[in-house]
Amino acid sequence: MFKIKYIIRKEFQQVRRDRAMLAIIFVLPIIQLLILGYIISSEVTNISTAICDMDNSSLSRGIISRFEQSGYFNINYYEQNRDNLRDYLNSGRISVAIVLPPHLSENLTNRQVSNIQVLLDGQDANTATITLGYVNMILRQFVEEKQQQYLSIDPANVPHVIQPETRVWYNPDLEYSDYMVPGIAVFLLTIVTSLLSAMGLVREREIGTLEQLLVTPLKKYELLVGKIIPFAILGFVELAIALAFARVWYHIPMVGNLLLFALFAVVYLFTTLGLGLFVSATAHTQQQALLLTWFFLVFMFLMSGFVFPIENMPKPAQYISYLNPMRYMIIVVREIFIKGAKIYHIYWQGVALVIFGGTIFSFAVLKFQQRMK
Amino acid sequence: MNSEISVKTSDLTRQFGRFKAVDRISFEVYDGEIFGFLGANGAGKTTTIRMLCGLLLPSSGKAWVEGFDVYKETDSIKQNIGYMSQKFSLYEDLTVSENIEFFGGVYGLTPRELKTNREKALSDFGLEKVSTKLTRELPLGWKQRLALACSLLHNPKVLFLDEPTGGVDPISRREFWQKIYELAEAGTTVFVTTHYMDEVEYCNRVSIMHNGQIVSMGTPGELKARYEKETIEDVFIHLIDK
Amino acid sequence: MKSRIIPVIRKELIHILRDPRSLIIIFVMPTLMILLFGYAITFDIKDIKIAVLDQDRSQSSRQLIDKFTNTNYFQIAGELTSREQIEPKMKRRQIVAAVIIPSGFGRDLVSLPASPVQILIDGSNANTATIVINYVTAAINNYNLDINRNIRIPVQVQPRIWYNPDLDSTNFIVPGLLAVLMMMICAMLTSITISREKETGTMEQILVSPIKSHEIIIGKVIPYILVSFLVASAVLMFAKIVFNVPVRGSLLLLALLSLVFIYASLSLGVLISSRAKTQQVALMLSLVGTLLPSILLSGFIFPIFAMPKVLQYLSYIVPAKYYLVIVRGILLKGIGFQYLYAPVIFLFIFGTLLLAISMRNFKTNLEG
Repeated sequence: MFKIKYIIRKEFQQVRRDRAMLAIIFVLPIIQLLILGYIISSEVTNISTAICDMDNSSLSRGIISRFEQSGYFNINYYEQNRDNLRDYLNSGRISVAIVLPPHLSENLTNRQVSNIQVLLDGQDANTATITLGYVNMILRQFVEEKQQQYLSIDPANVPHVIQPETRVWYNPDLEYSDYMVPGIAVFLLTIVTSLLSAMGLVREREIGTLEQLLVTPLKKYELLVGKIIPFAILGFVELAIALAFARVWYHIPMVGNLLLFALFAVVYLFTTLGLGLFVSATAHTQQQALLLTWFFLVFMFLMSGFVFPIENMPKPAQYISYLNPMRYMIIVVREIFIKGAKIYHIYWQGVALVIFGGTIFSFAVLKFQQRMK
Repeated sequence: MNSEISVKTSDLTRQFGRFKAVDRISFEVYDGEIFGFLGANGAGKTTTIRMLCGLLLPSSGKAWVEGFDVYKETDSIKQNIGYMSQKFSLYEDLTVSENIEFFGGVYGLTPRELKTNREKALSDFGLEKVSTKLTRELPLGWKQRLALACSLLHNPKVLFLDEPTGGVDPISRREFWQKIYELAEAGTTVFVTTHYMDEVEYCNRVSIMHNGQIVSMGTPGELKARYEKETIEDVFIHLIDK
Repeated sequence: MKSRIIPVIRKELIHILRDPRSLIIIFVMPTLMILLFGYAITFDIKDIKIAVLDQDRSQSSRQLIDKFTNTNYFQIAGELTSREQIEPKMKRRQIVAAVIIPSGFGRDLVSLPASPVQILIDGSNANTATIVINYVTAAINNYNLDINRNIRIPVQVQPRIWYNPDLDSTNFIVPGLLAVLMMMICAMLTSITISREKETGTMEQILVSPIKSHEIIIGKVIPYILVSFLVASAVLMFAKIVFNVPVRGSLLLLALLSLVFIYASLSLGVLISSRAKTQQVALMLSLVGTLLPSILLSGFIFPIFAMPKVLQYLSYIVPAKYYLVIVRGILLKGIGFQYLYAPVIFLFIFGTLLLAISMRNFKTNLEG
């Protein structure tokens, strides 16, 4: 039983000497967290815009300046000829073009309706929708102000508007990073632990030291545990670094209970290490081990609710996502961090993780035993 | 060398599909004997050793190492044997000391035993000066010494060597065999496979393998007399040609 | 010189073909993934669970509530009776938002110019929250339009959505997924081709022959260009058949330009391979070094123009970004080469530069 500590020590000795691996385990995540945090918290702004002003009145210029001052739009092009806009959109130089029709200001004075065309690059539906939202908002404000002017003239014709008072709970500034960064930390933990454990055993097999170990009285479970513990420890260290970084750099407050989170993390580790172990027992070469792990990782990433909301997936996909342990961990991490959830709020996730962790791990161990024969 | 049996096989066979890598071989090795297994590549030597070490289950037949059954008592076997393969199987990114400490620990040595045996190993094998060097930096002959040292840390009763001198310079080979002699004198059984003819002369007894079967067995002297040849090499070629 | 490259190519092809497991993974996995995720991944939000607290219970308040029930976007997950019920429901993730219509709403509609309606939103998922705010505002505006029907609003916004009129996320995501997957496969495949030979010692054997470094590298890259191209074609075909991803531009052009992208991605793998000491490092580097940058900085999900300047500059060295422009441009926009020469030139330079660096470091790295 105590032989395990020799295996553990050996693993750490090896890792300590492998500068490249150390960098990958410790430095790369920090870099990624840095980049990720900023990307994900980016609001849609700097929208490259072209304006086609066919009215050329002080009114139209007033509208244009509103767009400029909103801070969302970068008006990079002024075009008189509407047909040229196609070229701008095709080349990707603009995301949106706003066409102010001729006689706009005249029509407004005469209470005639004018149509302002908004040409949107619809490839990214999300961004397009948001952009359109901004345009609508700016124009609506413009219209409201104009209506106020008419109030003095024609009180009967005053629109009655419902104003929504929006209050955001738990994350009032709608900081994406609060929401994303803990999830990123989990994702990084997943990558590192599953990759390390997947490659770890295949590696020894490939260089021949596995055989040497098998000739010794070392029991198989001792080998297994001895290999897994260092990976688990490394995973935890990485998690701690990531979370500390989140706190220090992004000032993400940890509202909930750290101990509770640590507990969940341990259970989650069983799943990722189990996955790596399973791959290790199945693959014959390091390349296969990597490819297989990669496949699982991408699946886990995309179906975890981390970036793409699960609620919006078609039902069959949602059912499949229930098989993804990372899904539960992402929920746990967010609920604990941002909402300060207590155990009774998230015990379902805990149960799921235990079931998954236990199953995957046992399965992996069985496959490992079988393979060792 | 006494007449206690250390390793025994009886009609030991190993098949891979329809291919018989080892075909009903039977032999006995005595305590303190240096027993050689000579044969061309692919003759079945490595498969035999792997079965005796508990790395591979036989397809049929029986075998015992130090009285332990290779089917059911592999744990006990492993506690009593040392193994060294042609690959040396050392951790290149660990130092000489670290490799020794690791394998010692894995063999169940207590920390005190580990310390003593480690120092003994370093001095016995002339590795004191390089104890802190990374294994990958050692020349091949030194790696061989380290591999042998690691396989002996727990004072095993039987030592299995699978083509242990491949690619090593003649002086290192000589020193290696010197060590083997010392071990055998002290009572360790040495079971060695090789395809170097001159090494065969160092063995107490030799068995010649071909196509999975033992075609002849005896002391080098007996074999040369039996087939009326001057060297073992001639004996070997003669038998293979048949 | 040519004749020495051919044996290298042949050997690599044999390696590839004799490892059916890897081959299966390389072909089947991306296809499976495009399949799976084309169906599953969408940003379009539906059935947002909201609760309504109607403290007015008038005809007007019910008409407002109708605006929420009559769309696919919302699902009324509860008609509440008190404010205190909101927080527990949100904590249990049963609702994402709550709409509170104050008493007197209907009455105020006639007398006062503006009536407040409170919306409480769970901000922990900032993504969803923003979209929810948008939709709620839209629903309320809808209501505003209704009650002000008689009043003409002088300015109408006419949106025209180009390239993707149905605002279908699939059209956006599938090409992106293709680029990301190809990038990863290419880098991973080549990342070990050199480091593996270093580890097993066969590289030494090759080097004692008269063959030059560049011949080795070119010989290794060519078979993978072939394999990657086949994978890309298979995946694209799948996407077209299953998701009806439009192909508005020239497929031939897409094929040609894909080759350039594959070239660039493979060269990244070769560079990693020539520098990494072991296969393990090479593999980790290629996975980690291509996965996240390709997903995050390429414009796959997050628009590059909205990122901080530093990251925008960083995105210039992500090959996937250029390929995305190419793929989306040809498939969705139907544009021709005249708009695409910039990304192509970049990809070509990128690939050649990396290969050149690999070649230069090749021999020295082997001794290291």
